[in-house]
Amino acid sequence: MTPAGEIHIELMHRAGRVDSVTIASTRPEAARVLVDKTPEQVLSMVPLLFSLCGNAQAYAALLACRAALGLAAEPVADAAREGLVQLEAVREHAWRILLDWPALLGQPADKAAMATLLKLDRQFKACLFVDGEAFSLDSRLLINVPGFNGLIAELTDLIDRAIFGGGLGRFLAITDAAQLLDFVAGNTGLAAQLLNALYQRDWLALGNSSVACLPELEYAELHQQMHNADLSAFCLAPQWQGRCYEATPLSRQQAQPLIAELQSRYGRGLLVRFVAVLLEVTAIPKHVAPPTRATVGGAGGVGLAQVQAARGLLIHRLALRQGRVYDYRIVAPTEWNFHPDGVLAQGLKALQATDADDLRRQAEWLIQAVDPCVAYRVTLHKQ
Amino acid sequence: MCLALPAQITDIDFTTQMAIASVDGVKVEVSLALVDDVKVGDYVLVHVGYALNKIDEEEALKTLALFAEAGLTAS
Repeated sequence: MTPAGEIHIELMHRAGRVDSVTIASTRPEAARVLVDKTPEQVLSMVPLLFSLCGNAQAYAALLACRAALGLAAEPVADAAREGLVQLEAVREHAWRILLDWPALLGQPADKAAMATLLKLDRQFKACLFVDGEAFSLDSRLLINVPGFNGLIAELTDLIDRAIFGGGLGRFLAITDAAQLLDFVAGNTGLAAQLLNALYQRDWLALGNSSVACLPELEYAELHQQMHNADLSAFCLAPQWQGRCYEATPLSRQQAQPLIAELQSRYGRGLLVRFVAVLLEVTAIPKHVAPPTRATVGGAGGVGLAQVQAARGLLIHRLALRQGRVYDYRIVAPTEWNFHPDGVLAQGLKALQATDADDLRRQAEWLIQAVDPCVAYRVTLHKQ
Repeated sequence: MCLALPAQITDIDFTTQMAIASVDGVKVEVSLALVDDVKVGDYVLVHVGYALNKIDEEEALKTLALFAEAGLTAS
Protein backbone atom coordinates (compact mmCIF):
# COMPACT_ATOMS: atom_id res chain seq x y z
CA MET A 1 0.00 0.00 0.00
CA THR A 2 1.28 3.47 -0.90
CA PRO A 3 0.92 6.61 1.27
CA ALA A 4 -2.19 7.51 -0.82
CA GLY A 5 -4.06 4.97 1.32
CA GLU A 6 -7.00 2.82 0.32
CA ILE A 7 -10.54 1.81 1.19
CA HIS A 8 -11.00 -1.64 2.68
CA ILE A 9 -14.47 -3.14 2.30
CA GLU A 10 -15.30 -6.26 4.30
CA LEU A 11 -18.43 -8.33 3.78
CA MET A 12 -19.58 -10.81 6.40
CA HIS A 13 -21.90 -13.30 4.66
CA ARG A 14 -23.69 -16.64 4.88
CA ALA A 15 -23.81 -18.46 1.52
CA GLY A 16 -23.83 -15.20 -0.42
CA ARG A 17 -26.29 -13.35 1.85
CA VAL A 18 -24.68 -10.31 3.48
CA ASP A 19 -24.99 -10.07 7.27
CA SER A 20 -22.89 -6.96 7.78
CA VAL A 21 -20.54 -4.58 5.99
CA THR A 22 -17.46 -2.76 7.27
CA ILE A 23 -15.87 0.09 5.31
CA ALA A 24 -12.60 1.52 6.57
CA SER A 25 -10.35 4.12 4.97
CA THR A 26 -6.62 4.59 5.46
CA ARG A 27 -6.55 7.76 3.38
CA PRO A 28 -4.50 10.53 4.97
CA GLU A 29 -5.91 13.98 5.68
CA ALA A 30 -3.90 15.62 2.93
CA ALA A 31 -5.21 19.14 3.55
CA ARG A 32 -3.01 19.47 6.61
CA VAL A 33 -0.08 20.08 4.27
CA LEU A 34 -1.71 23.44 3.44
CA VAL A 35 -1.66 24.74 7.04
CA ASP A 36 0.55 27.77 7.67
CA LYS A 37 0.76 28.61 3.96
CA THR A 38 -0.35 31.82 2.27
CA PRO A 39 -3.32 31.66 -0.15
CA GLU A 40 -0.90 32.06 -3.06
CA GLN A 41 1.16 29.11 -1.81
CA VAL A 42 -2.03 27.05 -1.32
CA LEU A 43 -3.04 27.65 -4.92
CA SER A 44 0.36 26.63 -6.26
CA MET A 45 0.41 23.50 -4.06
CA VAL A 46 -3.10 22.10 -4.58
CA PRO A 47 -2.52 21.10 -8.25
CA LEU A 48 0.60 19.21 -7.14
CA LEU A 49 -1.23 17.29 -4.41
CA PHE A 50 -4.11 15.70 -6.31
CA SER A 51 -3.81 13.51 -9.41
CA LEU A 52 -7.54 12.96 -9.88
CA CYS A 53 -10.05 15.79 -10.08
CA GLY A 54 -7.16 18.25 -10.05
CA ASN A 55 -9.27 20.96 -11.70
CA ALA A 56 -12.12 20.55 -9.21
CA GLN A 57 -9.70 20.62 -6.28
CA ALA A 58 -7.88 23.67 -7.65
CA TYR A 59 -11.16 25.50 -8.41
CA ALA A 60 -12.58 24.79 -4.93
CA ALA A 61 -9.32 26.03 -3.39
CA LEU A 62 -9.41 29.20 -5.51
CA LEU A 63 -13.03 29.94 -4.57
CA ALA A 64 -12.35 29.32 -0.88
CA CYS A 65 -9.20 31.49 -0.89
CA ARG A 66 -10.99 34.29 -2.72
CA ALA A 67 -13.87 34.18 -0.26
CA ALA A 68 -11.55 34.19 2.77
CA LEU A 69 -9.67 37.17 1.32
CA GLY A 70 -12.91 39.01 0.52
CA LEU A 71 -12.05 39.21 -3.21
CA ALA A 72 -14.73 39.70 -5.84
CA ALA A 73 -16.00 36.90 -8.08
CA GLU A 74 -14.80 36.67 -11.71
CA PRO A 75 -17.94 35.62 -13.62
CA VAL A 76 -16.44 35.08 -17.07
CA ALA A 77 -13.25 33.38 -15.88
CA ASP A 78 -15.26 31.28 -13.43
CA ALA A 79 -17.54 30.11 -16.25
CA ALA A 80 -14.42 28.95 -18.11
CA ARG A 81 -13.13 27.24 -14.94
CA GLU A 82 -16.46 25.48 -14.45
CA GLY A 83 -16.19 24.22 -18.03
CA LEU A 84 -12.76 22.78 -17.19
CA VAL A 85 -14.15 21.06 -14.09
CA GLN A 86 -16.93 19.50 -16.16
CA LEU A 87 -14.57 18.33 -18.89
CA GLU A 88 -12.46 16.78 -16.18
CA ALA A 89 -15.57 14.90 -15.03
CA VAL A 90 -15.79 13.40 -18.54
CA ARG A 91 -12.17 12.29 -18.22
CA GLU A 92 -12.79 10.74 -14.79
CA HIS A 93 -15.91 8.91 -15.97
CA ALA A 94 -14.09 7.77 -19.11
CA TRP A 95 -11.38 6.28 -16.91
CA ARG A 96 -13.92 3.96 -15.29
CA ILE A 97 -15.72 3.25 -18.56
CA LEU A 98 -12.67 2.50 -20.72
CA LEU A 99 -10.40 0.84 -18.18
CA ASP A 100 -12.69 -0.75 -15.57
CA TRP A 101 -16.02 -1.51 -17.29
CA PRO A 102 -14.29 -3.90 -19.79
CA ALA A 103 -12.87 -5.81 -16.81
CA LEU A 104 -16.41 -6.28 -15.47
CA LEU A 105 -17.31 -7.76 -18.87
CA GLY A 106 -14.18 -9.95 -19.01
CA GLN A 107 -12.64 -7.88 -21.81
CA PRO A 108 -9.31 -6.04 -22.14
CA ALA A 109 -9.25 -2.35 -21.16
CA ASP A 110 -9.29 0.21 -23.99
CA LYS A 111 -5.98 1.82 -23.01
CA ALA A 112 -5.40 3.41 -26.43
CA ALA A 113 -8.65 5.40 -26.26
CA MET A 114 -7.92 6.46 -22.68
CA ALA A 115 -4.40 7.60 -23.64
CA THR A 116 -5.87 9.72 -26.46
CA LEU A 117 -8.47 11.19 -24.12
CA LEU A 118 -5.83 12.13 -21.53
CA LYS A 119 -3.83 13.94 -24.24
CA LEU A 120 -6.93 15.90 -25.31
CA ASP A 121 -7.82 16.74 -21.72
CA ARG A 122 -4.41 18.32 -21.06
CA GLN A 123 -4.97 20.82 -23.89
CA PHE A 124 -8.21 22.43 -22.72
CA LYS A 125 -6.65 24.77 -20.14
CA ALA A 126 -4.26 26.20 -22.70
CA CYS A 127 -7.26 27.11 -24.91
CA LEU A 128 -8.81 29.23 -22.14
CA PHE A 129 -6.08 30.80 -19.97
CA VAL A 130 -2.66 32.37 -20.56
CA ASP A 131 0.00 29.65 -20.09
CA GLY A 132 -2.79 27.26 -19.07
CA GLU A 133 -2.78 28.90 -15.59
CA ALA A 134 -6.46 28.56 -14.78
CA PHE A 135 -6.63 28.44 -11.00
CA SER A 136 -4.43 31.18 -9.53
CA LEU A 137 -5.44 34.56 -8.09
CA ASP A 138 -3.90 36.31 -11.11
CA SER A 139 -5.00 33.94 -13.92
CA ARG A 140 -5.73 35.74 -17.19
CA LEU A 141 -8.31 34.58 -19.70
CA LEU A 142 -7.20 34.06 -23.30
CA ILE A 143 -9.95 32.17 -25.08
CA ASN A 144 -9.00 30.33 -28.26
CA VAL A 145 -12.48 29.52 -29.56
CA PRO A 146 -11.49 27.51 -32.69
CA GLY A 147 -8.92 25.54 -30.70
CA PHE A 148 -11.40 24.81 -27.91
CA ASN A 149 -14.16 23.80 -30.32
CA GLY A 150 -11.72 21.57 -32.20
CA LEU A 151 -10.84 19.74 -28.98
CA ILE A 152 -14.53 19.33 -28.12
CA ALA A 153 -15.16 17.84 -31.58
CA GLU A 154 -12.27 15.39 -31.13
CA LEU A 155 -13.52 14.45 -27.66
CA THR A 156 -17.05 13.89 -28.90
CA ASP A 157 -15.80 11.71 -31.77
CA LEU A 158 -13.67 9.66 -29.37
CA ILE A 159 -16.59 9.12 -26.98
CA ASP A 160 -18.81 8.13 -29.92
CA ARG A 161 -16.34 5.53 -31.20
CA ALA A 162 -14.89 4.14 -27.96
CA ILE A 163 -17.99 4.10 -25.74
CA PHE A 164 -21.06 4.12 -27.99
CA GLY A 165 -19.90 2.14 -31.04
CA GLY A 166 -20.90 5.04 -33.32
CA GLY A 167 -24.33 5.33 -31.69
CA LEU A 168 -23.83 8.50 -29.63
CA GLY A 169 -26.53 10.40 -31.53
CA ARG A 170 -28.99 7.63 -30.86
CA PHE A 171 -28.12 7.48 -27.18
CA LEU A 172 -28.57 11.26 -26.87
CA ALA A 173 -32.08 10.96 -28.34
CA ILE A 174 -33.25 8.47 -25.68
CA THR A 175 -36.03 9.86 -23.50
CA ASP A 176 -37.59 6.79 -21.88
CA ALA A 177 -36.88 3.28 -20.63
CA ALA A 178 -38.29 1.58 -23.77
CA GLN A 179 -35.93 3.56 -26.03
CA LEU A 180 -33.03 2.71 -23.73
CA LEU A 181 -33.82 -0.99 -24.06
CA ASP A 182 -33.99 -0.64 -27.87
CA PHE A 183 -30.62 1.10 -27.88
CA VAL A 184 -29.04 -1.60 -25.70
CA ALA A 185 -30.41 -4.35 -27.95
CA GLY A 186 -29.23 -2.70 -31.16
CA ASN A 187 -25.80 -1.32 -30.29
CA THR A 188 -22.49 -3.16 -29.83
CA GLY A 189 -20.51 -0.38 -28.09
CA LEU A 190 -19.04 -0.72 -24.63
CA ALA A 191 -21.87 1.20 -22.93
CA ALA A 192 -24.56 -0.96 -24.53
CA GLN A 193 -22.65 -4.14 -23.66
CA LEU A 194 -22.45 -3.16 -20.02
CA LEU A 195 -26.12 -2.19 -19.79
CA ASN A 196 -27.06 -5.35 -21.71
CA ALA A 197 -25.22 -7.44 -19.11
CA LEU A 198 -27.40 -5.82 -16.41
CA TYR A 199 -30.59 -6.74 -18.32
CA GLN A 200 -29.35 -10.29 -19.00
CA ARG A 201 -28.41 -10.93 -15.35
CA ASP A 202 -31.48 -9.15 -14.01
CA TRP A 203 -29.18 -6.82 -12.07
CA LEU A 204 -31.08 -3.62 -12.92
CA ALA A 205 -32.04 -2.94 -9.28
CA LEU A 206 -28.97 -4.57 -7.74
CA GLY A 207 -27.58 -2.60 -4.79
CA ASN A 208 -30.69 -0.43 -4.41
CA SER A 209 -30.30 1.81 -1.41
CA SER A 210 -32.62 4.06 0.56
CA VAL A 211 -29.86 6.58 1.31
CA ALA A 212 -31.12 9.87 -0.15
CA CYS A 213 -29.21 12.09 -2.56
CA LEU A 214 -27.52 15.04 -0.88
CA PRO A 215 -29.63 18.17 -1.33
CA GLU A 216 -28.11 21.45 -2.41
CA LEU A 217 -26.37 22.80 0.69
CA GLU A 218 -26.94 26.48 1.46
CA TYR A 219 -23.73 28.31 2.23
CA ALA A 220 -24.92 29.68 5.59
CA GLU A 221 -26.14 26.29 6.83
CA LEU A 222 -22.98 24.45 5.76
CA HIS A 223 -20.82 27.18 7.28
CA GLN A 224 -22.72 26.85 10.55
CA GLN A 225 -22.48 23.05 10.59
CA MET A 226 -18.75 23.09 9.87
CA HIS A 227 -18.22 25.87 12.42
CA ASN A 228 -19.77 23.72 15.15
CA ALA A 229 -18.53 20.29 14.02
CA ASP A 230 -15.53 18.20 14.96
CA LEU A 231 -13.97 18.93 11.58
CA SER A 232 -11.66 15.91 11.49
CA ALA A 233 -14.62 13.60 12.11
CA PHE A 234 -16.78 15.46 9.57
CA CYS A 235 -14.12 15.25 6.85
CA LEU A 236 -13.62 11.51 7.40
CA ALA A 237 -17.30 10.50 7.67
CA PRO A 238 -19.58 13.40 6.73
CA GLN A 239 -23.28 13.48 7.54
CA TRP A 240 -25.81 16.25 7.00
CA GLN A 241 -28.27 16.97 9.81
CA GLY A 242 -27.41 13.65 11.41
CA ARG A 243 -28.02 11.51 8.28
CA CYS A 244 -25.90 9.85 5.59
CA TYR A 245 -26.40 11.05 2.01
CA GLU A 246 -25.01 10.08 -1.35
CA ALA A 247 -23.10 12.62 -3.43
CA THR A 248 -22.69 11.00 -6.84
CA PRO A 249 -23.42 11.70 -10.53
CA LEU A 250 -26.88 10.27 -9.78
CA SER A 251 -27.43 13.11 -7.27
CA ARG A 252 -26.91 15.56 -10.16
CA GLN A 253 -28.88 13.64 -12.78
CA GLN A 254 -31.90 12.48 -10.76
CA ALA A 255 -34.16 15.18 -12.22
CA GLN A 256 -33.59 13.92 -15.80
CA PRO A 257 -36.83 12.30 -17.06
CA LEU A 258 -35.04 9.09 -18.12
CA ILE A 259 -33.36 8.76 -14.71
CA ALA A 260 -36.61 9.53 -12.89
CA GLU A 261 -38.42 6.80 -14.85
CA LEU A 262 -35.65 4.24 -14.34
CA GLN A 263 -35.47 5.11 -10.66
CA SER A 264 -39.22 4.64 -10.22
CA ARG A 265 -38.95 1.17 -11.83
CA TYR A 266 -35.66 -0.11 -10.42
CA GLY A 267 -34.76 2.15 -7.50
CA ARG A 268 -31.24 3.46 -7.10
CA GLY A 269 -29.55 0.28 -8.29
CA LEU A 270 -26.90 -0.47 -10.89
CA LEU A 271 -28.88 0.53 -14.01
CA VAL A 272 -29.73 4.03 -12.89
CA ARG A 273 -26.17 4.64 -11.66
CA PHE A 274 -24.47 3.56 -14.90
CA VAL A 275 -26.99 5.49 -17.03
CA ALA A 276 -26.41 8.66 -14.93
CA VAL A 277 -22.68 8.44 -15.66
CA LEU A 278 -23.32 7.90 -19.38
CA LEU A 279 -25.66 10.92 -19.45
CA GLU A 280 -22.89 13.11 -18.02
CA VAL A 281 -20.30 11.81 -20.47
CA THR A 282 -22.56 12.61 -23.40
CA ALA A 283 -24.11 15.88 -22.19
CA ILE A 284 -21.00 17.71 -20.97
CA PRO A 285 -19.14 18.00 -24.30
CA LYS A 286 -22.40 19.18 -25.88
CA HIS A 287 -23.20 21.88 -23.32
CA VAL A 288 -19.83 22.58 -21.79
CA ALA A 289 -20.63 25.85 -20.06
CA PRO A 290 -23.95 25.35 -18.24
CA PRO A 291 -24.56 27.11 -14.94
CA THR A 292 -22.93 25.37 -12.02
CA ARG A 293 -24.15 24.61 -8.57
CA ALA A 294 -20.88 25.78 -7.08
CA THR A 295 -21.66 27.96 -4.09
CA VAL A 296 -19.19 30.05 -2.24
CA GLY A 297 -19.05 32.46 0.63
CA GLY A 298 -16.84 33.80 3.34
CA ALA A 299 -16.61 36.01 6.35
CA GLY A 300 -14.05 36.80 9.02
CA GLY A 301 -11.17 35.16 7.15
CA VAL A 302 -13.05 31.91 6.59
CA GLY A 303 -13.71 30.76 3.02
CA LEU A 304 -16.01 27.92 2.05
CA ALA A 305 -16.52 26.53 -1.45
CA GLN A 306 -18.62 23.75 -2.95
CA VAL A 307 -17.81 22.40 -6.42
CA GLN A 308 -19.41 19.52 -8.31
CA ALA A 309 -16.47 17.21 -9.06
CA ALA A 310 -16.78 14.08 -11.22
CA ARG A 311 -17.78 11.78 -8.36
CA GLY A 312 -19.97 14.31 -6.52
CA LEU A 313 -19.82 17.28 -4.17
CA LEU A 314 -16.37 18.53 -3.16
CA ILE A 315 -16.08 20.97 -0.23
CA HIS A 316 -13.05 23.10 0.65
CA ARG A 317 -13.02 25.24 3.81
CA LEU A 318 -10.11 27.32 5.03
CA ALA A 319 -9.53 29.76 7.86
CA LEU A 320 -6.89 32.50 7.58
CA ARG A 321 -5.06 34.24 10.44
CA GLN A 322 -2.52 36.99 9.72
CA GLY A 323 -2.59 36.09 6.03
CA ARG A 324 -1.78 32.40 6.50
CA VAL A 325 -3.88 29.26 6.62
CA TYR A 326 -4.76 28.36 10.19
CA ASP A 327 -7.07 25.50 9.28
CA TYR A 328 -7.79 23.76 5.93
CA ARG A 329 -10.36 21.03 5.40
CA ILE A 330 -11.45 19.08 2.35
CA VAL A 331 -14.56 16.88 2.17
CA ALA A 332 -14.41 14.70 -0.95
CA PRO A 333 -17.44 12.87 -2.42
CA THR A 334 -15.90 9.49 -1.64
CA GLU A 335 -16.24 10.31 2.08
CA TRP A 336 -20.02 10.71 1.69
CA ASN A 337 -20.46 7.70 -0.58
CA PHE A 338 -18.11 5.29 1.23
CA HIS A 339 -19.27 6.38 4.70
CA PRO A 340 -19.49 3.27 6.97
CA ASP A 341 -23.32 3.65 6.94
CA GLY A 342 -23.62 5.37 3.54
CA VAL A 343 -24.97 4.49 0.12
CA LEU A 344 -22.38 1.81 -0.72
CA ALA A 345 -22.69 0.12 2.69
CA GLN A 346 -26.49 0.03 2.39
CA GLY A 347 -26.33 -1.18 -1.22
CA LEU A 348 -23.90 -3.97 -0.31
CA LYS A 349 -26.18 -5.11 2.53
CA ALA A 350 -29.00 -5.46 0.00
CA LEU A 351 -27.07 -7.87 -2.27
CA GLN A 352 -28.50 -11.34 -2.61
CA ALA A 353 -26.01 -13.67 -4.27
CA THR A 354 -26.09 -17.40 -4.78
CA ASP A 355 -22.61 -18.01 -3.37
CA ALA A 356 -19.40 -16.24 -2.38
CA ASP A 357 -18.11 -15.91 -5.96
CA ASP A 358 -21.39 -14.39 -7.12
CA LEU A 359 -21.37 -12.04 -4.12
CA ARG A 360 -17.86 -10.83 -4.93
CA ARG A 361 -18.88 -10.20 -8.54
CA GLN A 362 -21.98 -8.25 -7.52
CA ALA A 363 -19.98 -6.23 -4.98
CA GLU A 364 -17.36 -5.33 -7.62
CA TRP A 365 -20.05 -4.03 -10.00
CA LEU A 366 -21.68 -1.95 -7.26
CA ILE A 367 -18.38 -0.48 -6.08
CA GLN A 368 -17.52 0.47 -9.67
CA ALA A 369 -20.95 2.07 -10.03
CA VAL A 370 -20.50 4.19 -6.89
CA ASP A 371 -16.89 4.82 -7.99
CA PRO A 372 -14.30 5.48 -5.27
CA CYS A 373 -11.49 7.90 -6.12
CA VAL A 374 -8.82 5.71 -4.55
CA ALA A 375 -7.70 2.11 -4.66
CA TYR A 376 -9.94 -0.31 -2.78
CA ARG A 377 -9.81 -3.87 -1.51
CA VAL A 378 -12.73 -6.25 -0.92
CA THR A 379 -12.55 -9.09 1.61
CA LEU A 380 -15.28 -11.67 2.11
CA HIS A 381 -15.69 -13.42 5.47
CA LYS A 382 -17.86 -16.53 5.66
CA GLN A 383 -19.94 -16.60 8.87
CA MET B 1 -9.39 12.85 -3.42
CA CYS B 2 -6.47 10.86 -4.65
CA LEU B 3 -3.02 12.05 -3.71
CA ALA B 4 -0.67 12.68 -6.61
CA LEU B 5 2.34 10.79 -5.35
CA PRO B 6 5.28 11.03 -7.75
CA ALA B 7 6.86 7.67 -8.52
CA GLN B 8 10.29 7.21 -10.04
CA ILE B 9 10.57 4.59 -12.77
CA THR B 10 13.26 2.05 -11.94
CA ASP B 11 12.72 -0.65 -14.58
CA ILE B 12 10.75 -0.95 -17.83
CA ASP B 13 9.57 -3.97 -19.83
CA PHE B 14 8.85 -2.38 -23.23
CA THR B 15 7.21 -5.53 -24.63
CA THR B 16 4.42 -5.40 -22.06
CA GLN B 17 4.48 -1.61 -21.44
CA MET B 18 4.84 -2.39 -17.72
CA ALA B 19 7.31 -0.78 -15.36
CA ILE B 20 8.49 -0.92 -11.77
CA ALA B 21 8.29 2.40 -9.95
CA SER B 22 9.35 3.50 -6.50
CA VAL B 23 6.75 5.41 -4.46
CA ASP B 24 8.14 6.60 -1.15
CA GLY B 25 10.48 3.60 -1.11
CA VAL B 26 7.69 1.14 -1.97
CA LYS B 27 8.08 -0.71 -5.27
CA VAL B 28 4.91 -0.83 -7.35
CA GLU B 29 4.09 -2.25 -10.79
CA VAL B 30 2.62 0.32 -13.16
CA SER B 31 1.31 0.26 -16.72
CA LEU B 32 2.86 2.80 -19.11
CA ALA B 33 0.03 2.37 -21.65
CA LEU B 34 -1.39 5.85 -21.03
CA VAL B 35 1.85 7.87 -21.30
CA ASP B 36 4.50 8.40 -23.99
CA ASP B 37 8.29 8.46 -23.92
CA VAL B 38 8.89 7.33 -20.36
CA LYS B 39 12.38 6.10 -19.50
CA VAL B 40 14.12 4.78 -16.38
CA GLY B 41 14.72 7.63 -13.92
CA ASP B 42 11.64 9.64 -15.01
CA TYR B 43 8.97 10.63 -12.52
CA VAL B 44 5.31 9.83 -13.19
CA LEU B 45 2.07 10.28 -11.28
CA VAL B 46 0.51 6.89 -10.56
CA HIS B 47 -3.15 6.03 -10.07
CA VAL B 48 -4.39 2.49 -9.42
CA GLY B 49 -1.69 0.81 -11.43
CA TYR B 50 -1.39 3.29 -14.30
CA ALA B 51 1.13 6.08 -14.88
CA LEU B 52 -1.12 9.08 -15.53
CA ASN B 53 1.45 11.56 -16.76
CA LYS B 54 5.13 12.33 -16.69
CA ILE B 55 6.27 15.19 -14.45
CA ASP B 56 9.66 16.90 -14.34
CA GLU B 57 12.08 16.07 -11.57
CA GLU B 58 11.88 19.52 -9.99
CA GLU B 59 8.09 19.30 -9.65
CA ALA B 60 8.33 15.72 -8.36
CA LEU B 61 10.87 16.59 -5.69
CA LYS B 62 8.83 19.65 -4.67
CA THR B 63 5.71 17.50 -4.29
CA LEU B 64 7.56 14.79 -2.36
CA ALA B 65 8.96 17.47 -0.02
CA LEU B 66 5.39 18.70 0.62
CA PHE B 67 4.20 15.22 1.53
CA ALA B 68 7.24 14.64 3.75
CA GLU B 69 6.67 17.99 5.50
CA ALA B 70 3.11 16.93 6.31
CA GLY B 71 4.29 13.54 7.56
CA LEU B 72 2.43 11.73 4.79
CA THR B 73 5.55 9.95 3.54
CA ALA B 74 8.48 8.35 5.29
CA SER B 75 11.21 10.16 3.38
